[in-house]
Amino acid sequence: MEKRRESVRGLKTEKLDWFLEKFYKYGLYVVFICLVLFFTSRNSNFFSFDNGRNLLQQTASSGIAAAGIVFVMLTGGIDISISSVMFITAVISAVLTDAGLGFGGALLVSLACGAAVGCINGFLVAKLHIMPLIVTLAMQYVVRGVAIGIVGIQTLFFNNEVGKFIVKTQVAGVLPLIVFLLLVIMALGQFLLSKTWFGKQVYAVGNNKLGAEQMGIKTTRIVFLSYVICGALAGLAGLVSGAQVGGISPTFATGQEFIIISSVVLGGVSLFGGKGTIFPNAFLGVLIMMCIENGLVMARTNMYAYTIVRGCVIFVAVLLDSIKNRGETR
Amino acid sequence: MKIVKQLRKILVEQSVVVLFLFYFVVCLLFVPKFANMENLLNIVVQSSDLIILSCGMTFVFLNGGMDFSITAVLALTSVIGAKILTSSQPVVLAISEAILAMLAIGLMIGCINGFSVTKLKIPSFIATMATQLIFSGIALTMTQSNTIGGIPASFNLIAQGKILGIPAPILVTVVIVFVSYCLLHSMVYGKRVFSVGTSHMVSTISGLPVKRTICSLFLLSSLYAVIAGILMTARLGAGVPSLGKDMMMDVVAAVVVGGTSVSGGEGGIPGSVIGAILVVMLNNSLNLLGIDWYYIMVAKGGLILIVSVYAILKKSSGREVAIWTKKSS
Amino acid sequence: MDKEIVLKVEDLCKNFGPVKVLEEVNFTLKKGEVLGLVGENGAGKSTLMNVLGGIHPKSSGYVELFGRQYEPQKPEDATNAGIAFIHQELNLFTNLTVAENIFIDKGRANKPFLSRKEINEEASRILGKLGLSVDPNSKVEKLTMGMRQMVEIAKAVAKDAKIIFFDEPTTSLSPAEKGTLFELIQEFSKKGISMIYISHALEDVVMLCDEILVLRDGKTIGEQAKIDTVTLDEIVSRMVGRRMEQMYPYVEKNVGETILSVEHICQGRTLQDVSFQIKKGEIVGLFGLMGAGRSELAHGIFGTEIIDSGDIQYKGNPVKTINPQKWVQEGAAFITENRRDEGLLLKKSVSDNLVLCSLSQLGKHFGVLDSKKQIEVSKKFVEELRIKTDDVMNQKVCNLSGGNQQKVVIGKWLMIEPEFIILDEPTRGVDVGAKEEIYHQINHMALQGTGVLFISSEMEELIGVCDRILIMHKGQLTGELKRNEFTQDTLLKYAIGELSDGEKEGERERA
Repeated sequence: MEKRRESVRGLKTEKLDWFLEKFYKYGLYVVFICLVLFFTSRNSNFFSFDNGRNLLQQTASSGIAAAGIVFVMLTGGIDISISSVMFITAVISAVLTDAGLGFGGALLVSLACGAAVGCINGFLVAKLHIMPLIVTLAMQYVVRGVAIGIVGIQTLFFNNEVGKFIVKTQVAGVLPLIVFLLLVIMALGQFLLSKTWFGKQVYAVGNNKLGAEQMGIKTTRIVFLSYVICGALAGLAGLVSGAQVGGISPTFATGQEFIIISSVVLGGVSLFGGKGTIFPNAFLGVLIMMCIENGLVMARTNMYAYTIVRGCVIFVAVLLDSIKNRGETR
Repeated sequence: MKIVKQLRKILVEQSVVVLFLFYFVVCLLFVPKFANMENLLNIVVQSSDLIILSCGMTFVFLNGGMDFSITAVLALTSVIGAKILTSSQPVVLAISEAILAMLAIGLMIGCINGFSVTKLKIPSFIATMATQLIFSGIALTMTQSNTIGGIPASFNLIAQGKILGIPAPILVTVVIVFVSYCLLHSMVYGKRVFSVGTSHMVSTISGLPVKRTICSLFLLSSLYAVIAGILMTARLGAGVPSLGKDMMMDVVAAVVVGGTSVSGGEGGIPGSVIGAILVVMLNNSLNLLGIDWYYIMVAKGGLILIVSVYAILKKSSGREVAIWTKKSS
Repeated sequence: MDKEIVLKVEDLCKNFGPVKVLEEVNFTLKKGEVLGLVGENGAGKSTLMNVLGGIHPKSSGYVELFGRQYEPQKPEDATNAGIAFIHQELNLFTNLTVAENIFIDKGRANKPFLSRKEINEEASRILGKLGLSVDPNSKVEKLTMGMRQMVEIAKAVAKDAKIIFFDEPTTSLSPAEKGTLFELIQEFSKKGISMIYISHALEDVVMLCDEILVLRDGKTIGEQAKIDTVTLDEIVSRMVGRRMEQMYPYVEKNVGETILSVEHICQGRTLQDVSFQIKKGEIVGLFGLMGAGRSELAHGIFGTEIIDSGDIQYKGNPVKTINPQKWVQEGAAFITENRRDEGLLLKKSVSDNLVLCSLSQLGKHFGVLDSKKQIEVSKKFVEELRIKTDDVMNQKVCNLSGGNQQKVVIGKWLMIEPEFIILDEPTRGVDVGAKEEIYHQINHMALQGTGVLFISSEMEELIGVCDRILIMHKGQLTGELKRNEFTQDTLLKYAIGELSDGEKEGERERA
């Protein structure tokens, strides 16, 4: 049956396959280096230690959220509510830290808050089998509405002690705290994926859900947990991003979800499930995306053109993914 | 007993209508200022854009797809239309040029979407998201995010004029609904759309032009967005690069509430029309009650979720039969 | 001599609704023995496996495993009881490595972490024991089908399985891989692992197994027998020994000119240089066992599966672009084997399904649907085909019985008045009465000059209905029989590759 569908697909040739495999293995590094060279040629400040660190700092929040969404995408799902989750946790942690909550508390609250939204998503998708796109689209609106309801429509400033602490702290003198956080999350996420049976089962579910069920893997639980992890990490990303941006307006992080999704797809995480890693795939994808945006800023491109570039990058990323992974039966 | 059964059947099968009537009555009774002619007429006029967009989206949903690009179509057509209208002379020529250009842009975006989905096999939600970003980006770049004013008043008549005492947008909407209804429910094309949406494989083997049909759905959805774009531009009397930015949610809510299944093959125009009016009514009544827009957003998101859950539960109550027949074959 | 009995099945029955799939199946499996389980397609072999594997509950009967009553509720129960299944369609996760696949359900044993080194070592040990040189760290998607099969076996070994079921394990293996597999099976047998070996390749069964059991129509035929007490011919006759009933109405037809001619169709390993012709008004049967490539051939001709090379001529003209849309326009029809996923829109009404292929004929001016005509033709076909439905316009097809569903599929194609039709297993899952009506329809079509390609794995119906039967074996056409040459034995011998056309001529010469 499935074989038949595969053969109707058409687009695939062996040469292209070979190329794509190599591209995702080595090509992305080449693309990254080329981008660095290109933007350096436009503005020599691009290739500098400071800008490098700056780039990593900018990558932090999307990188953390990306690590989360990889879990969901590996199971073959999608979560577009993450931008709103980022918003609500940014808002909540800003409000609570103003009221005297410490950094550790803010960290826990944002993780918990994101996880709570993830639970709802996970329940509706895994248990009730509603299309993830619709569930998370609706949740996107619900969560954002609730968040605005908490603070009202004025811009909220996250510039208290904790906010400053998050942005300014340097671990061991050189490594910014948020970059440290990013690296820890990525390492933990990748550990979860490659060193635990849970991670392997996430891959298994994305590869062959029916087979996994038959083997006694609890697919409902795996999918549910993926959404919870995704939500929790999006929450953390919201905290980081909120502290970085400082001013949290009602449109905070809108559109981020698609940038993050397309970054990880660009890095080689498949939209069709079962393929990809947090490190290096998702990390590299986010880095390249940030590099493009950062480079555009430094090259003083018209800011409205960003969205055009973003759209083109998304398009190319998903096109390559479709060619590579669509129709693969397992 | 029979009446109860009949009633239950209506409740289950025509849940949109029931929901609509129920909410309408509730509004009439409990929402102040809702039950006057002016407000009701206002709802009808406000519904027109949403109804048109929802009809277009219904086509795409029927194939289990999604079209995020309609907001970009709205924005870009509005901007380009306004540019032509403000720079061309004489007015009649400008208007026809503008409308042609707007149609051309819409069709082009529809074509790109259709091509990406059928030939390049990109999932529609992300393909249309990419086109949405690209083309709304173009609209923003062209205008530097500024509104283009100074559109000739004769163009604005499209939205502000009245024919036989009926506002023109309502007439346009009625025509669009009628055409969509005919296309989908009383033409061969509609049967094809439902079949393709139900199963690509069965339709392919039965010799239906599957790819062409899917492509046409995206074209229709863009085309409808162009029409809505013309109406909205004319109403505002300006080219707005952020036009329709927040309409996506209302459209999705209208179609989902209207009973068109996201997994494809089920639903139809009447549901979406009622869904669209319901969504506008929701907006209007909550506004009248002084509820902030963000809570209205929560309400609409919640509505989508509740309706989806209800649809799933409705399906699974009939599932026992399906499982049994599956095993026996 | 008398070994310990590990699995005893007594009077096992399984019904799906009113349909009896297994009826009083009895057998025993002894320690370290290989039991061959043979039977035609649809004889109930897979159902038997599914019942023992905990996928379906049994309807009645008694199963004893290692001296204790055994009633699996879910697949895990079977695994925990020491039963492993090697399915025809492998249950591997291609995106994981060999070692990960072998131990994937270790996660269930409350072991959260995995050590790559540890599982790789353990996997190497198991693979080494099996005499395989697979890198446990390589992804399954990079392995050949044969290797994947071995991984599946390694999984069974890792779970310390006492009983292993093999379901058609050799269909996708190369001869060398097959050799390795057989050595392994013998090895297992020496170690005291019992096995049930299900296969259509009778020669393999005879070579490998200690005992043999024949299933037909869900019943065990004859006693479970030691392999050296039965001959191949006896097995064949047990498998097919159904009485020819009166339900196959053969009619003489006017066979006209060639309508379809297929030349040198090749597709990978599944189709190798297949050529044949079909004439107007002729019913040509296509017989073969599972995996012989019959359905693939049909899909290749109709353009739903891409063929590597080959020419097709239709009504004397070469067909350049092969796709279903074109075929339907040309008046060709294709009733697929998979009614649920490829034949019917299950969620749609009877009428909507009936008019599916002839939608364009229902248009009036400007493509307006002529709903009166739709009702009219739907009612006509429902009557003609005697489809039992309460409401043609509103009843969903999924609520019909199998036979009526199949009639809807036939009806939808009859509406385009086909000149050529491919029927792939049209009577599968259909009750006897409906079967007979389907045969009548096929005859009726042929009488009106339609060329029919009738694919089936039920020999009786082919023998009963066809003018000519083609036989496939491993992707090749091995034989062609005229009506006066039809016997079940010859058909099966061709299908299992014991005879091929060259040899048949040799036989004739000797005679």
